[in-house]
Amino acid sequence: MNNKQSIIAENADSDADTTQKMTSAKVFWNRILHNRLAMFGGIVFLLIVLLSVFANFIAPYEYMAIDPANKFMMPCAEHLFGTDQYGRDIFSRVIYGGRWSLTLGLVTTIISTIGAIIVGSIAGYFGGTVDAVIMRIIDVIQCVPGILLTIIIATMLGSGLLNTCLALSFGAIWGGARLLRGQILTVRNQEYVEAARATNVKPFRIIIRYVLPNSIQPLIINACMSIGGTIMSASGLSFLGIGIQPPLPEWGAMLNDSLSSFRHYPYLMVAPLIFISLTVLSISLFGDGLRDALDPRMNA
Amino acid sequence: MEQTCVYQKGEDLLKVEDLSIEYTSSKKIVHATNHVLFALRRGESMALVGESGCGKSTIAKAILRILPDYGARITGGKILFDGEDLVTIPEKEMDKIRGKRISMVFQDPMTALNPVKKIVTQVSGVIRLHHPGMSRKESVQETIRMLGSVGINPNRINDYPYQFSGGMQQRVVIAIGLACNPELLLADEPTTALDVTIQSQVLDMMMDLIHERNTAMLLITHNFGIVAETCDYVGVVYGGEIVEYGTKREVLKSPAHPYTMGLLDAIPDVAKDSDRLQPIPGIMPEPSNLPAGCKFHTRCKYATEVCMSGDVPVVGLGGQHICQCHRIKEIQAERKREEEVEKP
Amino acid sequence: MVRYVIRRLLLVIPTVLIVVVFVFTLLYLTPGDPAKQILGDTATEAELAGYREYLGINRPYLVQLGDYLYKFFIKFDLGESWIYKTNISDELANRLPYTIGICIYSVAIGGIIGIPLGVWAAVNQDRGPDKFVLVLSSIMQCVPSFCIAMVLIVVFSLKLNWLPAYGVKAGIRSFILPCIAVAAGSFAGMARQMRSSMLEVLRSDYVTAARAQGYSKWSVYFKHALPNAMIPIVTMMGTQLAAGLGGTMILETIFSIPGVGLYVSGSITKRDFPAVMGCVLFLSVTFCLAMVLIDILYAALDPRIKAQYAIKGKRKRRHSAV
Repeated sequence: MNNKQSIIAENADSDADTTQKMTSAKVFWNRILHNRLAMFGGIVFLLIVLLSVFANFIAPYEYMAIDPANKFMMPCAEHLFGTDQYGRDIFSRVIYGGRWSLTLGLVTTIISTIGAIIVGSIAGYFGGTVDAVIMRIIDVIQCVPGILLTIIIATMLGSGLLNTCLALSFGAIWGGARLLRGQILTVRNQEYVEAARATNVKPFRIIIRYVLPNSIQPLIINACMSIGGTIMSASGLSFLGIGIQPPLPEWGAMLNDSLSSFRHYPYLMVAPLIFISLTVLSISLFGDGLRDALDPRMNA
Repeated sequence: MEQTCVYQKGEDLLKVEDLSIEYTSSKKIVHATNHVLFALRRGESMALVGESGCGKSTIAKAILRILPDYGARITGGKILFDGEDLVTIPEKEMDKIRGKRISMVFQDPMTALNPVKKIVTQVSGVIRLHHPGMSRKESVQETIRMLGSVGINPNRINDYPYQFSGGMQQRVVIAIGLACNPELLLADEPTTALDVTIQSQVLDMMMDLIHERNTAMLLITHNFGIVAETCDYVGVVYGGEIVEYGTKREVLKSPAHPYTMGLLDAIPDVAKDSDRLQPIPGIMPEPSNLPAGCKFHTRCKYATEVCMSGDVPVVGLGGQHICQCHRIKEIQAERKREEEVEKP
Repeated sequence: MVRYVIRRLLLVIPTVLIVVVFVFTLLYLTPGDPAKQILGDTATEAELAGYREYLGINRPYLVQLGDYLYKFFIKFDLGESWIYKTNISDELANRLPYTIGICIYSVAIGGIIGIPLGVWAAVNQDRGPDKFVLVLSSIMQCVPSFCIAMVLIVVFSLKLNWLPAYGVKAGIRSFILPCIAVAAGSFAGMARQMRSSMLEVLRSDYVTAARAQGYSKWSVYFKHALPNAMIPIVTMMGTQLAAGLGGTMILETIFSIPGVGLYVSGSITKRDFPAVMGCVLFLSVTFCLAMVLIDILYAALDPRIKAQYAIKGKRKRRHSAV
C-alpha cells in the first residue's frame, strides 16, 4: 500500500514541476536572441548606424571635399566606391549620408507613431460620431496617393531636415491610427476599462493608463517594420529633388546626383543602392523577429 | 512490442496491425500512436474512446492517409483494408478509395465545408468524382436524393454553408460522407461541435443510414453515452495504444483496465448521492515524453513497481475482451473487495 | 448588394469634394510666387502685381475656392495651366493612357510572377522553394523601385542595348523596363501574401475534407485551395494598382514617360496650381473608384461578404420598419 501511494505522490510532484514559470519578458528575450535572422538584421542595422554616427572618424575624406582632378574614378584602394563627377569620395559621402537618411527614417517614424497614437486613441476611445468623423477624414486624406501628398506638403513647408520629416510623417500617421483604433475598439469594452469609467477616472487617464498599454503592441511592431519603408520613401523624395537636396549626401540625393552621369558611369549608384537596401533589409529582418517574438500564439 | 491477436476469425474488412505514427517537428518527435492493433468486420461499428490527445484522430486520418504531408510519418505497421495494405499502395489507388470505399465525417461542420461553394456543388462533386460517366444532371438528382435522406429540403441545395445551422451543416457533411456508399465510415467526433439537443437527432439519423447500407463504422468519441447508443465494439485508447478492447457489453459492464474503470467512474450518476465527481488524477503525459513501461502507471491507483518498466502483456478475458495490463487479476480482486466495502 | 454599391459610388462625390478643399488649402498655403515663376526674375513689381491679378491669386481664399469648385463641379472645367496655357483636361486625357497603362501592366506582371511563386512556396513549406521565395521577396522589398529601374537601364539599355532607356517612341518596347521596375517590387509583396494566404487555406479543415473525399493532391491545391486563397490577393492587387498611381511619379521621371506623374511633379515645382489640382483630382477620383471596384470584386468572390453587403444595404429599410 505504502509503495503505491508514494509512487503516486512522486509522480504528482513531477507533474507540477514540468510547467516552468517564465515571465513574458524572459520569453521575449529568449525568443528574439535565438532568432538568428533577426539578430543578424539587428546587428547589421546597428553597424550602419554606428558607421554614420562616427562618420567623422571613419570617413577618409570630407563629404563635401571637391577634387576635380580625380573625378569619375572607379572603385580602387584610395576610393572604396570611387569618386563622383566633382571628385568627391563616394564612400565618405555614403556613410555621412546615413546621418540624414537614418535620421529621416527614425524621426519620421517617431513623429508618425505619436500622431497615430493621438488620433487613433481619440477615435477608438470615444467612438460614435467622433470616430466616424475621424475615419471619414482619414479616408479622404488617404485618397490622395502618398508620395503626391508628401511632395505637396514638403513643398508647402520648405526644405530642411525637420520639414521633410514632418512631410513624410503626415502620410504615415493614418495607417497607424487605423490600426490602433481597431485595437482600442476591442480593448475599451473590457471590464477593467468599464470599472475605471465607473469610478469616474478622467478619459485622458483611462486612455493612458488602461487602454493604451494593452492595445499599443501592434502599433509598435508596425512602426518598427515601417522604418524601412520610410527610409525608402525618404530616399525617393530626395531623388525627386524635394526635401534633402544635393550637395547633401543623403542616399536618395546621391542617386539623384548620379542620374545625369550614370548612363556612362553606372558604378556611381552602387554605394547608395547597397546602403539603402541593406539598411531596409536589416531593419525589416529585425522587425520580423520582433513581431514573432512578441506573438503570444507561437510556442516558446 | 509483441501483441497477440485474439480477435475472432471472420471476414475482416479493416485490420490495423502494429501501427505506429510519429509527428516530427524541428524540436521534438511525438509518438502519436504506438503499435495499435484492432480489426473491424463488414457492417459492424466500433468506437475508439479516449481523452483529447490520445491519438484516436490520428489513427482515423492514417487509415485514409490524410495525415499532414510535412511532419507526420507512419513508422511501422499495416492497415489492411479488404486485403490491401493502405500504407503501401500508390497514391492514385488511394485516391480511388477515399470518398468511395472509405469516407470520413469531421468534427466541426462549419470548417469542414468549403465556404465559397454551394452545397449542391460539394455533394455532386464527390459523386461525379467517383462515377466518371455520370452527367451533371444525374449527379444533381442523386445529390437531392442524398440530401433528402439526411433531412435537407431540395429547395436549399443552392445555398452556401454559412446559411445553415450547425446541425444542418453536419447533415450535409454526413451526406457527402455517405454519398458514394462507402464500405467504411470514419466518424471523428461527429456530434461534439453540435448543441446537445441536436446531437442525438443527428446521431440517430447517421446510425439509420449506416445500418440501411450495411456500412462499417469507426466512431471516434470521448463520450461513453454515444458509445453505448451506437457501437458494437469499443477500443479504449491511452497514450497512443489500445489498452482495452471488447464488445460494448464486455467493456462497459465489466471494464478490466484501470483507465477504463476511471473513465466510467468519472461519469456522474444521477442515482448515486455523491458530493464530488471522481476524476482520474493527473494528466495524460506529453506524447513526446511518454513514461516507460505501462503508459498509464503514473496515474493508476493500482500501480506497483512491476508497471514501471518492461512490455505490458495483452491479456485475453474471454469472448472478445482483451486488456493490456500487468496486474489484471490482482486489480479485479481489489475491486471486488472495494465494492464489498461500499455495500452497506 | 446593388444598393450598397450605389451608396458607395455616391459617397465618392462628397469625398472628392473634401479632397479638393483639402488640397486646395494646402496649395494656397504653399509659399512661392507663381507670377515670379512664370515671368522670371527680370519682371518688375508692377508686372508681377498685374500678373497676379490676372491669375486671380490676389482674391480672398474663399472666393478662390468657391470659384474653383464652381468651375469643376458645375462646368467640369479644370482650367488652364498657368505655365503652358494648355487646357488641363486635354493634357490629362493625353497623359492618362501612359500612367494607367504602366500601373495595370506592372500589377499584372507582378501577379503573374508573384502568385505562382507564393503557391510554390506554400506547397513546399519550410523546404527549399519556400526559403528561396522568402529570401527573394525579402530582398526585393528592400530595394526601392527607382533603384531597380536604374539597374535595369544600365543592364538592358546601356550594356545590352535591347530596350530603350527613355521616351515612348518605341511603342510597347518602351514600357517593358518601367513595368518590370514596378513589378519587381510588387511581386515580392504578392508572393508573400499568396504564400501566407495559401498556407492558411491548406491548414483548414475543408481542404483535409476534400482530400478525404478522394480528390487528388493537385486537384485539391488548384480547385479547392487556390480559389479560396486568391480572394485576399485580388484585393491586394487592387490596392497595389491604386498605390501605383502615385508611385509612377518617380518612374516617369527616370524613364521620361509623359504621363500624369511627370506632369504633376513638374507642376508642383513650378507652382502651376491648376495643373496640380487637376492631377490630384484625377488621381483621387481614380483611387476612390478603384476601392469601390475592389469591394465589388471581393463580394463577387466570397458569398459571405456579399451577404454582409446585402444586409448593410438593407439596413436603412429595416430600421424604418421598426
